[in-house]
Amino acid sequence: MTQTSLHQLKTSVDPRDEFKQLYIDHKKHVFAMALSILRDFELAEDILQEVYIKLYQYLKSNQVTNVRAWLIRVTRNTALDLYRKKKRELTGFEDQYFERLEYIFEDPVEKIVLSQYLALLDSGERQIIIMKDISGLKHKEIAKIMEMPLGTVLWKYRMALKKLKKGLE
Amino acid sequence: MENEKIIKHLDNALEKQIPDVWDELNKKIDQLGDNSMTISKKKSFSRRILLTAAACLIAASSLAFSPVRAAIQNVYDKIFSSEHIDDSGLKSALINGLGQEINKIYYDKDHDITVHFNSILMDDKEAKLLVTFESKKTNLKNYYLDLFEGFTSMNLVVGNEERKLKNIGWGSHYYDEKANKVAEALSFESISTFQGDEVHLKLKDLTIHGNNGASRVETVWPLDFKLSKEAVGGRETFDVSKEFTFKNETYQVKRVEFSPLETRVVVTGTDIKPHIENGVAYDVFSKLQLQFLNARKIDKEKGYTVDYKKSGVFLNSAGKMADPIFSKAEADGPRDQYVLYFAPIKDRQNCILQVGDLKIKLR
Repeated sequence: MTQTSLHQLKTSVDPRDEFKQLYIDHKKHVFAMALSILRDFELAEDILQEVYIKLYQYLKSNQVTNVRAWLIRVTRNTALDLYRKKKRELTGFEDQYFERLEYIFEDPVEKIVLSQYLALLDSGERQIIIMKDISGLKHKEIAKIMEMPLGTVLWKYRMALKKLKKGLE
Repeated sequence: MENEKIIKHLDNALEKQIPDVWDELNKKIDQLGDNSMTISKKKSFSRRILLTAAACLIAASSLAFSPVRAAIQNVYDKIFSSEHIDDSGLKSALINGLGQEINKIYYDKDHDITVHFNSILMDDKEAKLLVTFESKKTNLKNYYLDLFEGFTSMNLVVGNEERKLKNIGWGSHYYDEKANKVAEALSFESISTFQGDEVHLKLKDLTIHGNNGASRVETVWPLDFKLSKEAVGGRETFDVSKEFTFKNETYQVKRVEFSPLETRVVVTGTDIKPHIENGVAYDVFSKLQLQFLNARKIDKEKGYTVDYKKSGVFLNSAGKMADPIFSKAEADGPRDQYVLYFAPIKDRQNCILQVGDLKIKLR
Protein backbone atom coordinates (compact mmCIF):
# COMPACT_ATOMS: atom_id res chain seq x y z
CA MET A 1 0.00 0.00 0.00
CA THR A 2 1.45 3.36 -0.95
CA GLN A 3 1.53 6.19 1.53
CA THR A 4 0.66 9.76 0.69
CA SER A 5 1.65 12.94 2.45
CA LEU A 6 2.55 16.43 1.41
CA HIS A 7 6.11 15.81 2.56
CA GLN A 8 6.20 13.08 0.00
CA LEU A 9 4.41 15.21 -2.56
CA LYS A 10 6.88 18.06 -2.25
CA THR A 11 9.59 15.88 -3.76
CA SER A 12 7.56 15.64 -6.96
CA VAL A 13 7.64 18.21 -9.74
CA ASP A 14 4.82 20.35 -8.40
CA PRO A 15 3.05 19.34 -5.19
CA ARG A 16 -0.11 21.19 -6.17
CA ASP A 17 -0.26 19.13 -9.34
CA GLU A 18 0.13 16.01 -7.25
CA PHE A 19 -2.72 17.11 -5.05
CA LYS A 20 -4.78 17.86 -8.13
CA GLN A 21 -4.19 14.30 -9.23
CA LEU A 22 -5.63 13.08 -5.93
CA TYR A 23 -8.63 15.28 -6.62
CA ILE A 24 -9.10 13.87 -10.11
CA ASP A 25 -8.64 10.27 -9.00
CA HIS A 26 -11.09 10.31 -6.12
CA LYS A 27 -13.58 13.15 -6.65
CA LYS A 28 -16.24 10.72 -7.82
CA HIS A 29 -16.06 8.70 -4.61
CA VAL A 30 -16.37 11.83 -2.49
CA PHE A 31 -19.20 13.37 -4.51
CA ALA A 32 -21.16 10.10 -4.81
CA MET A 33 -20.96 9.44 -1.07
CA ALA A 34 -22.01 13.00 -0.20
CA LEU A 35 -24.90 12.84 -2.67
CA SER A 36 -26.01 9.49 -1.25
CA ILE A 37 -26.39 10.98 2.20
CA LEU A 38 -27.64 14.46 1.34
CA ARG A 39 -29.58 13.88 -1.90
CA ASP A 40 -28.75 17.47 -2.80
CA PHE A 41 -26.33 18.30 -5.59
CA GLU A 42 -25.34 21.73 -4.29
CA LEU A 43 -24.64 20.46 -0.80
CA ALA A 44 -22.70 17.51 -2.24
CA GLU A 45 -20.57 20.00 -4.16
CA ASP A 46 -19.90 21.91 -0.92
CA ILE A 47 -18.87 18.68 0.76
CA LEU A 48 -16.56 17.85 -2.15
CA GLN A 49 -14.64 21.07 -1.55
CA GLU A 50 -14.69 20.82 2.23
CA VAL A 51 -13.37 17.27 2.26
CA TYR A 52 -10.50 18.04 -0.10
CA ILE A 53 -9.51 21.01 2.05
CA LYS A 54 -9.54 18.66 5.04
CA LEU A 55 -7.35 16.23 3.10
CA TYR A 56 -4.94 19.00 2.14
CA GLN A 57 -4.60 20.11 5.74
CA TYR A 58 -4.31 16.55 7.01
CA LEU A 59 -1.58 15.64 4.56
CA LYS A 60 0.58 18.53 5.75
CA SER A 61 1.54 16.62 8.85
CA ASN A 62 0.24 13.08 8.36
CA GLN A 63 0.57 10.15 6.03
CA VAL A 64 -2.41 8.32 4.62
CA THR A 65 -1.99 4.72 3.57
CA ASN A 66 -5.30 4.52 1.71
CA VAL A 67 -6.44 7.90 0.44
CA ARG A 68 -9.68 6.56 -1.04
CA ALA A 69 -10.80 4.94 2.22
CA TRP A 70 -9.75 8.06 4.18
CA LEU A 71 -11.76 10.28 1.83
CA ILE A 72 -14.83 8.07 2.01
CA ARG A 73 -14.74 7.96 5.79
CA VAL A 74 -14.27 11.73 6.15
CA THR A 75 -16.91 12.45 3.48
CA ARG A 76 -19.39 10.24 5.27
CA ASN A 77 -18.81 11.95 8.61
CA THR A 78 -18.86 15.45 7.10
CA ALA A 79 -22.04 14.79 5.12
CA LEU A 80 -23.80 13.20 8.09
CA ASP A 81 -22.88 16.21 10.23
CA LEU A 82 -24.33 18.52 7.61
CA TYR A 83 -27.42 16.35 7.27
CA ARG A 84 -28.06 16.60 11.01
CA LYS A 85 -27.63 20.36 10.88
CA LYS A 86 -29.86 20.71 7.84
CA LYS A 87 -32.57 18.30 8.91
CA ARG A 88 -34.84 21.14 9.90
CA GLU A 89 -34.78 22.34 6.34
CA LEU A 90 -35.43 19.01 4.70
CA THR A 91 -38.84 18.62 3.21
CA GLY A 92 -38.47 15.00 2.24
CA PHE A 93 -37.84 13.79 -1.24
CA GLU A 94 -40.16 15.33 -3.80
CA ASP A 95 -41.22 13.99 -7.18
CA GLN A 96 -40.37 17.31 -8.82
CA TYR A 97 -36.86 17.20 -7.41
CA PHE A 98 -35.28 16.28 -10.70
CA GLU A 99 -37.23 18.76 -12.73
CA ARG A 100 -35.77 21.64 -10.76
CA LEU A 101 -32.20 20.66 -11.44
CA GLU A 102 -30.18 20.83 -14.58
CA TYR A 103 -28.86 17.44 -15.47
CA ILE A 104 -26.42 16.41 -18.05
CA PHE A 105 -27.82 13.17 -19.37
CA GLU A 106 -27.19 11.80 -22.80
CA ASP A 107 -28.75 8.52 -21.88
CA PRO A 108 -32.31 8.66 -20.48
CA VAL A 109 -31.76 5.30 -18.75
CA GLU A 110 -28.99 6.87 -16.67
CA LYS A 111 -31.39 9.53 -15.47
CA ILE A 112 -33.98 6.91 -14.48
CA VAL A 113 -31.41 4.77 -12.70
CA LEU A 114 -30.01 7.71 -10.73
CA SER A 115 -33.44 9.06 -9.83
CA GLN A 116 -34.66 5.62 -8.71
CA TYR A 117 -31.47 5.08 -6.76
CA LEU A 118 -32.00 8.36 -4.88
CA ALA A 119 -35.73 7.86 -4.42
CA LEU A 120 -36.08 4.17 -3.56
CA LEU A 121 -33.09 3.31 -1.43
CA ASP A 122 -32.62 4.46 2.10
CA SER A 123 -29.52 6.36 3.15
CA GLY A 124 -27.65 3.29 4.44
CA GLU A 125 -28.41 1.28 1.30
CA ARG A 126 -27.24 4.11 -0.93
CA GLN A 127 -23.97 4.43 0.96
CA ILE A 128 -23.29 0.70 0.75
CA ILE A 129 -23.94 0.63 -3.02
CA ILE A 130 -21.58 3.56 -3.55
CA MET A 131 -18.82 2.11 -1.42
CA LYS A 132 -19.11 -1.36 -2.93
CA ASP A 133 -19.84 -0.72 -6.58
CA ILE A 134 -18.57 2.78 -7.29
CA SER A 135 -15.61 3.04 -4.94
CA GLY A 136 -14.77 -0.65 -4.99
CA LEU A 137 -14.39 -1.17 -1.26
CA LYS A 138 -14.64 -4.63 0.23
CA HIS A 139 -17.68 -5.53 2.30
CA LYS A 140 -15.35 -5.87 5.26
CA GLU A 141 -14.08 -2.30 4.81
CA ILE A 142 -17.64 -1.05 4.40
CA ALA A 143 -18.68 -2.81 7.60
CA LYS A 144 -15.88 -1.03 9.41
CA ILE A 145 -16.82 2.40 8.03
CA MET A 146 -20.54 1.89 8.63
CA GLU A 147 -19.89 0.38 12.06
CA MET A 148 -22.15 -2.53 11.17
CA PRO A 149 -21.72 -6.32 11.34
CA LEU A 150 -20.45 -7.76 8.07
CA GLY A 151 -23.61 -9.87 7.72
CA THR A 152 -25.80 -6.76 7.96
CA VAL A 153 -23.78 -5.02 5.24
CA LEU A 154 -24.10 -8.05 2.93
CA TRP A 155 -27.81 -8.32 3.59
CA LYS A 156 -28.39 -4.59 3.05
CA TYR A 157 -26.36 -4.66 -0.16
CA ARG A 158 -28.44 -7.51 -1.58
CA MET A 159 -31.69 -5.84 -0.49
CA ALA A 160 -30.64 -2.55 -2.08
CA LEU A 161 -29.88 -4.15 -5.43
CA LYS A 162 -33.13 -6.09 -5.31
CA LYS A 163 -35.12 -2.94 -4.51
CA LEU A 164 -33.42 -0.99 -7.29
CA LYS A 165 -33.95 -3.76 -9.80
CA LYS A 166 -37.62 -4.02 -8.91
CA GLY A 167 -38.05 -0.26 -9.17
CA LEU A 168 -36.59 -0.25 -12.65
CA GLU A 169 -38.84 -3.00 -13.98
CA MET B 1 -32.17 -5.03 -16.10
CA GLU B 2 -29.22 -7.02 -14.77
CA ASN B 3 -27.39 -5.82 -11.67
CA GLU B 4 -24.19 -5.17 -13.59
CA LYS B 5 -25.99 -2.96 -16.10
CA ILE B 6 -27.78 -1.06 -13.34
CA ILE B 7 -24.48 -0.31 -11.62
CA LYS B 8 -22.87 0.68 -14.93
CA HIS B 9 -25.69 3.16 -15.62
CA LEU B 10 -25.48 4.50 -12.09
CA ASP B 11 -21.73 4.90 -12.38
CA ASN B 12 -22.06 6.77 -15.67
CA ALA B 13 -24.85 8.96 -14.36
CA LEU B 14 -22.83 9.92 -11.27
CA GLU B 15 -19.71 10.54 -13.32
CA LYS B 16 -21.57 13.13 -15.37
CA GLN B 17 -22.92 14.96 -12.34
CA ILE B 18 -19.58 15.60 -10.66
CA PRO B 19 -18.92 19.34 -10.72
CA ASP B 20 -15.44 20.55 -11.52
CA VAL B 21 -14.56 22.54 -8.42
CA TRP B 22 -10.78 22.40 -8.81
CA ASP B 23 -10.32 26.11 -9.56
CA GLU B 24 -12.41 27.11 -6.57
CA LEU B 25 -10.68 24.54 -4.39
CA ASN B 26 -7.28 25.72 -5.57
CA LYS B 27 -8.17 29.30 -4.61
CA LYS B 28 -9.35 28.20 -1.18
CA ILE B 29 -6.11 26.33 -0.62
CA ASP B 30 -4.22 29.50 -1.59
CA GLN B 31 -6.27 31.41 0.97
CA LEU B 32 -5.21 29.00 3.70
CA GLY B 33 -2.11 31.10 3.83
CA ASP B 34 0.62 28.54 3.28
CA ASN B 35 1.01 28.40 -0.46
CA SER B 36 4.22 26.46 -0.32
CA MET B 37 2.40 23.30 0.76
CA THR B 38 5.56 22.32 2.57
CA ILE B 39 5.22 22.50 6.29
CA SER B 40 8.43 22.76 8.16
CA LYS B 41 8.65 21.04 11.51
CA LYS B 42 9.35 24.38 13.14
CA LYS B 43 6.12 25.83 11.84
CA SER B 44 4.10 22.85 13.03
CA PHE B 45 5.69 23.20 16.43
CA SER B 46 4.82 26.89 16.60
CA ARG B 47 1.25 26.08 15.76
CA ARG B 48 1.10 23.50 18.52
CA ILE B 49 2.49 26.01 20.97
CA LEU B 50 -0.11 28.54 19.92
CA LEU B 51 -2.90 26.01 20.35
CA THR B 52 -1.63 25.10 23.79
CA ALA B 53 -1.50 28.76 24.70
CA ALA B 54 -5.06 29.21 23.50
CA ALA B 55 -6.20 26.23 25.54
CA CYS B 56 -4.55 27.68 28.64
CA LEU B 57 -6.22 31.01 28.03
CA ILE B 58 -9.64 29.39 27.84
CA ALA B 59 -9.01 27.28 30.92
CA ALA B 60 -7.88 30.35 32.84
CA SER B 61 -10.91 32.30 31.77
CA SER B 62 -13.23 29.79 33.39
CA LEU B 63 -12.26 31.20 36.76
CA ALA B 64 -11.73 34.79 35.79
CA PHE B 65 -15.31 36.08 35.70
CA SER B 66 -16.16 37.68 38.98
CA PRO B 67 -19.25 39.62 40.05
CA VAL B 68 -18.91 43.33 40.57
CA ARG B 69 -21.29 45.79 42.09
CA ALA B 70 -24.00 46.82 39.64
CA ALA B 71 -23.78 50.45 38.69
CA ILE B 72 -26.42 50.56 35.97
CA GLN B 73 -29.79 51.55 37.30
CA ASN B 74 -31.88 50.85 34.21
CA VAL B 75 -34.08 47.80 34.52
CA TYR B 76 -33.21 46.80 30.99
CA ASP B 77 -31.11 48.14 28.22
CA LYS B 78 -33.23 50.07 25.75
CA ILE B 79 -31.71 48.02 22.97
CA PHE B 80 -34.15 45.20 23.82
CA SER B 81 -37.15 47.26 22.76
CA SER B 82 -35.39 48.54 19.64
CA GLU B 83 -35.78 47.36 16.05
CA HIS B 84 -32.59 45.30 16.45
CA ILE B 85 -34.37 42.66 18.50
CA ASP B 86 -36.41 40.43 16.22
CA ASP B 87 -39.08 39.40 18.70
CA SER B 88 -42.14 41.62 18.59
CA GLY B 89 -43.57 39.69 21.55
CA LEU B 90 -40.64 40.58 23.77
CA LYS B 91 -40.77 44.22 22.73
CA SER B 92 -44.50 44.39 23.44
CA ALA B 93 -44.05 42.78 26.88
CA LEU B 94 -41.28 45.23 27.81
CA ILE B 95 -43.28 48.24 26.68
CA ASN B 96 -46.18 46.98 28.80
CA GLY B 97 -43.94 46.78 31.86
CA LEU B 98 -43.46 43.02 32.26
CA GLY B 99 -40.11 42.08 33.82
CA GLN B 100 -38.01 41.82 36.96
CA GLU B 101 -34.72 43.55 37.42
CA ILE B 102 -31.68 41.30 37.81
CA ASN B 103 -29.00 43.95 37.29
CA LYS B 104 -25.95 41.81 37.95
CA ILE B 105 -22.58 42.41 36.34
CA TYR B 106 -19.61 40.12 35.86
CA TYR B 107 -16.22 41.15 34.56
CA ASP B 108 -13.64 38.90 32.90
CA LYS B 109 -10.20 40.39 33.25
CA ASP B 110 -8.47 38.04 30.78
CA HIS B 111 -10.76 38.87 27.89
CA ASP B 112 -11.90 42.26 29.11
CA ILE B 113 -15.55 41.30 28.79
CA THR B 114 -18.21 42.86 30.97
CA VAL B 115 -21.45 40.88 31.14
CA HIS B 116 -24.59 42.60 32.38
CA PHE B 117 -27.65 40.57 33.27
CA ASN B 118 -30.45 43.10 32.83
CA SER B 119 -33.78 41.53 33.63
CA ILE B 120 -35.98 38.45 33.30
CA LEU B 121 -39.58 38.04 32.17
CA MET B 122 -41.74 35.06 31.28
CA ASP B 123 -45.11 33.49 30.74
CA ASP B 124 -45.91 29.91 31.71
CA LYS B 125 -44.09 28.43 28.68
CA GLU B 126 -41.09 30.59 28.00
CA ALA B 127 -38.60 32.73 29.93
CA LYS B 128 -36.54 35.56 28.49
CA LEU B 129 -33.30 36.61 30.13
CA LEU B 130 -31.95 39.90 28.80
CA VAL B 131 -28.17 40.06 28.74
CA THR B 132 -25.59 42.42 27.25
CA PHE B 133 -21.84 42.03 27.11
CA GLU B 134 -19.19 44.41 25.87
CA SER B 135 -15.46 44.82 25.62
CA LYS B 136 -12.86 47.46 24.79
CA LYS B 137 -10.18 44.98 23.75
CA THR B 138 -11.81 41.75 22.55
CA ASN B 139 -13.74 41.86 19.29
CA LEU B 140 -17.11 40.34 20.19
CA LYS B 141 -18.42 39.92 16.66
CA ASN B 142 -18.38 36.12 16.87
CA TYR B 143 -19.32 35.81 20.54
CA TYR B 144 -22.72 34.39 21.41
CA LEU B 145 -24.69 33.11 24.34
CA ASP B 146 -26.04 30.42 22.06
CA LEU B 147 -28.45 28.05 23.79
CA PHE B 148 -29.72 26.69 20.48
CA GLU B 149 -26.66 25.11 18.89
CA GLY B 150 -23.69 26.49 20.79
CA PHE B 151 -21.89 25.46 23.95
CA THR B 152 -23.88 27.83 26.13
CA SER B 153 -26.38 26.32 28.55
CA MET B 154 -28.89 27.63 31.07
CA ASN B 155 -29.19 25.51 34.18
CA LEU B 156 -31.66 25.50 37.05
CA VAL B 157 -30.32 24.48 40.44
CA VAL B 158 -32.80 22.98 42.89
CA GLY B 159 -31.20 21.65 46.09
CA ASN B 160 -28.18 19.63 45.06
CA GLU B 161 -29.52 18.94 41.59
CA GLU B 162 -28.81 20.89 38.45
CA ARG B 163 -31.03 20.63 35.38
CA LYS B 164 -30.37 22.04 31.92
CA LEU B 165 -33.30 24.17 30.77
CA LYS B 166 -34.48 23.65 27.20
CA ASN B 167 -34.10 26.49 24.75
CA ILE B 168 -37.21 27.87 23.03
CA GLY B 169 -36.27 28.71 19.44
CA TRP B 170 -33.20 30.79 18.70
CA GLY B 171 -33.67 33.74 21.01
CA SER B 172 -32.58 37.15 19.69
CA HIS B 173 -29.05 38.38 19.15
CA TYR B 174 -27.67 41.75 18.09
CA TYR B 175 -24.07 42.86 17.75
CA ASP B 176 -23.45 46.58 17.81
CA GLU B 177 -20.16 46.88 15.92
CA LYS B 178 -19.53 50.50 16.88
CA ALA B 179 -19.91 49.87 20.58
CA ASN B 180 -18.48 46.32 20.33
CA LYS B 181 -21.46 45.26 22.40
CA VAL B 182 -23.73 42.22 22.14
CA ALA B 183 -27.35 42.11 23.26
CA GLU B 184 -28.95 38.69 23.76
CA ALA B 185 -32.53 37.89 24.66
CA LEU B 186 -32.04 34.32 25.81
CA SER B 187 -35.10 32.18 25.40
CA PHE B 188 -35.64 29.02 27.45
CA GLU B 189 -38.33 27.00 29.19
CA SER B 190 -40.33 28.87 31.80
CA ILE B 191 -39.56 28.78 35.51
CA SER B 192 -42.84 30.52 36.40
CA THR B 193 -43.79 27.78 38.89
CA PHE B 194 -41.08 29.24 41.16
CA GLN B 195 -42.92 32.54 41.49
CA GLY B 196 -42.39 33.83 45.04
CA ASP B 197 -39.44 31.47 45.60
CA GLU B 198 -35.69 31.88 45.48
CA VAL B 199 -34.37 30.83 42.07
CA HIS B 200 -30.83 29.67 41.36
CA LEU B 201 -29.76 29.76 37.74
CA LYS B 202 -26.37 29.05 36.23
CA LEU B 203 -25.54 30.30 32.77
CA LYS B 204 -22.54 28.45 31.42
CA ASP B 205 -20.05 29.20 28.64
CA LEU B 206 -19.82 31.74 25.87
CA THR B 207 -19.89 30.32 22.33
CA ILE B 208 -17.55 31.65 19.66
CA HIS B 209 -18.79 30.90 16.15
CA GLY B 210 -15.56 31.32 14.18
CA ASN B 211 -14.56 30.38 10.66
CA ASN B 212 -13.24 27.04 11.84
CA GLY B 213 -16.33 25.99 13.73
CA ALA B 214 -17.51 26.75 17.23
CA SER B 215 -15.39 27.03 20.35
CA ARG B 216 -16.14 28.14 23.88
CA VAL B 217 -15.02 30.38 26.66
CA GLU B 218 -15.66 28.28 29.74
CA THR B 219 -17.33 30.12 32.55
CA VAL B 220 -20.18 29.90 35.04
CA TRP B 221 -22.39 32.84 35.95
CA PRO B 222 -24.65 32.17 38.92
CA LEU B 223 -27.86 34.18 39.12
CA ASP B 224 -29.77 34.04 42.39
CA PHE B 225 -32.96 36.01 42.89
CA LYS B 226 -36.48 35.76 44.27
CA LEU B 227 -38.85 35.42 41.34
CA SER B 228 -41.39 38.20 41.66
CA LYS B 229 -44.87 38.37 40.15
CA GLU B 230 -43.73 41.34 38.02
CA ALA B 231 -41.70 38.87 35.94
CA VAL B 232 -44.54 36.46 35.20
CA GLY B 233 -47.36 36.95 32.72
CA GLY B 234 -50.47 34.78 32.48
CA ARG B 235 -51.85 32.76 29.58
CA GLU B 236 -55.39 32.39 28.23
CA THR B 237 -56.11 29.27 26.21
CA PHE B 238 -59.10 28.62 23.97
CA ASP B 239 -59.86 25.35 22.24
CA VAL B 240 -60.73 25.78 18.59
CA SER B 241 -61.81 23.34 15.93
CA LYS B 242 -61.35 24.88 12.50
CA GLU B 243 -60.39 22.82 9.50
CA PHE B 244 -58.89 24.15 6.28
CA THR B 245 -57.14 22.79 3.21
CA PHE B 246 -53.92 24.30 1.87
CA LYS B 247 -51.96 22.89 -1.08
CA ASN B 248 -53.86 19.58 -0.88
CA GLU B 249 -53.06 19.10 2.80
CA THR B 250 -55.75 19.27 5.49
CA TYR B 251 -55.02 21.22 8.64
CA GLN B 252 -56.96 21.71 11.84
CA VAL B 253 -56.52 24.61 14.23
CA LYS B 254 -56.77 23.02 17.67
CA ARG B 255 -56.02 25.84 20.05
CA VAL B 256 -55.28 29.54 20.37
CA GLU B 257 -53.21 30.79 23.30
CA PHE B 258 -52.66 34.39 24.41
CA SER B 259 -49.90 35.67 26.69
CA PRO B 260 -48.05 38.99 27.11
CA LEU B 261 -45.13 37.47 25.18
CA GLU B 262 -46.90 35.80 22.27
CA THR B 263 -49.98 34.45 20.56
CA ARG B 264 -49.83 30.76 19.71
CA VAL B 265 -51.98 29.08 17.09
CA VAL B 266 -51.65 25.31 17.47
CA VAL B 267 -52.28 23.29 14.31
CA THR B 268 -52.29 19.61 13.32
CA GLY B 269 -52.25 18.46 9.71
CA THR B 270 -51.87 15.60 7.28
CA ASP B 271 -48.22 16.51 6.60
CA ILE B 272 -47.31 17.50 10.14
CA LYS B 273 -45.45 14.36 11.08
CA PRO B 274 -41.85 13.17 11.15
CA HIS B 275 -40.09 11.92 8.04
CA ILE B 276 -38.75 8.40 8.57
CA GLU B 277 -35.51 7.54 6.84
CA ASN B 278 -33.31 4.59 7.56
CA GLY B 279 -35.31 3.89 10.69
CA VAL B 280 -34.64 7.39 12.03
CA ALA B 281 -37.40 9.97 12.43
CA TYR B 282 -36.51 13.49 11.29
CA ASP B 283 -38.58 16.62 11.77
CA VAL B 284 -39.38 18.13 8.40
CA PHE B 285 -41.22 21.20 7.21
CA SER B 286 -44.93 20.89 6.46
CA LYS B 287 -46.43 22.96 3.64
CA LEU B 288 -48.01 25.21 6.27
CA GLN B 289 -44.64 25.81 7.96
CA LEU B 290 -43.03 26.58 4.62
CA GLN B 291 -45.85 29.05 3.94
CA PHE B 292 -45.32 30.64 7.37
CA LEU B 293 -41.59 31.02 6.68
CA ASN B 294 -42.21 32.34 3.17
CA ALA B 295 -42.79 35.87 4.49
CA ARG B 296 -39.61 35.73 6.58
CA LYS B 297 -36.97 38.22 5.62
CA ILE B 298 -33.49 38.15 7.06
CA ASP B 299 -31.97 41.53 7.75
CA LYS B 300 -28.35 41.86 8.89
CA GLU B 301 -29.18 44.63 11.34
CA LYS B 302 -32.67 43.67 12.43
CA GLY B 303 -32.61 39.86 12.36
CA TYR B 304 -35.83 38.23 11.17
CA THR B 305 -38.40 40.67 9.86
CA VAL B 306 -41.75 40.23 8.11
CA ASP B 307 -42.31 40.88 4.43
CA TYR B 308 -46.04 41.56 4.20
CA LYS B 309 -45.77 41.84 0.41
CA LYS B 310 -45.08 38.13 0.25
CA SER B 311 -47.58 35.38 0.71
CA GLY B 312 -47.36 33.94 4.21
CA VAL B 313 -49.36 33.04 7.30
CA PHE B 314 -50.55 36.08 9.21
CA LEU B 315 -52.80 36.82 12.16
CA ASN B 316 -55.23 39.67 11.89
CA SER B 317 -56.74 40.91 15.11
CA ALA B 318 -59.45 43.56 14.83
CA GLY B 319 -57.92 44.82 11.61
CA LYS B 320 -54.35 44.94 12.95
CA MET B 321 -51.65 42.51 11.92
CA ALA B 322 -49.77 40.66 14.65
CA ASP B 323 -46.20 40.07 13.43
CA PRO B 324 -45.13 36.44 13.09
CA ILE B 325 -42.31 35.62 15.54
CA PHE B 326 -39.86 33.76 13.33
CA SER B 327 -37.22 33.18 16.01
CA LYS B 328 -39.56 30.57 17.45
CA ALA B 329 -40.79 29.19 14.11
CA GLU B 330 -38.45 26.24 14.37
CA ALA B 331 -38.81 25.64 18.11
CA ASP B 332 -39.06 22.03 19.20
CA GLY B 333 -42.51 20.76 20.06
CA PRO B 334 -44.73 17.69 19.76
CA ARG B 335 -44.10 16.10 16.37
CA ASP B 336 -47.78 15.82 15.45
CA GLN B 337 -48.52 19.53 15.79
CA TYR B 338 -47.09 22.83 14.65
CA VAL B 339 -47.25 26.09 16.55
CA LEU B 340 -47.58 29.35 14.65
CA TYR B 341 -46.14 32.14 16.79
CA PHE B 342 -47.34 35.73 16.55
CA ALA B 343 -46.95 38.90 18.58
CA PRO B 344 -49.37 39.39 21.51
CA ILE B 345 -52.73 40.90 20.56
CA LYS B 346 -55.16 43.07 22.48
CA ASP B 347 -58.45 42.02 20.92
CA ARG B 348 -58.62 38.32 21.65
CA GLN B 349 -62.22 37.95 20.49
CA ASN B 350 -61.64 38.92 16.90
CA CYS B 351 -58.88 36.91 15.27
CA ILE B 352 -58.52 35.84 11.65
CA LEU B 353 -55.73 33.53 10.50
CA GLN B 354 -54.62 34.28 6.94
CA VAL B 355 -52.94 31.41 5.10
CA GLY B 356 -52.08 32.70 1.65
CA ASP B 357 -55.46 33.79 0.28
CA LEU B 358 -57.41 31.71 2.81
CA LYS B 359 -59.02 33.44 5.77
CA ILE B 360 -59.94 31.37 8.80
CA LYS B 361 -61.90 33.05 11.57
CA LEU B 362 -60.51 31.65 14.80
CA ARG B 363 -62.74 33.36 17.36
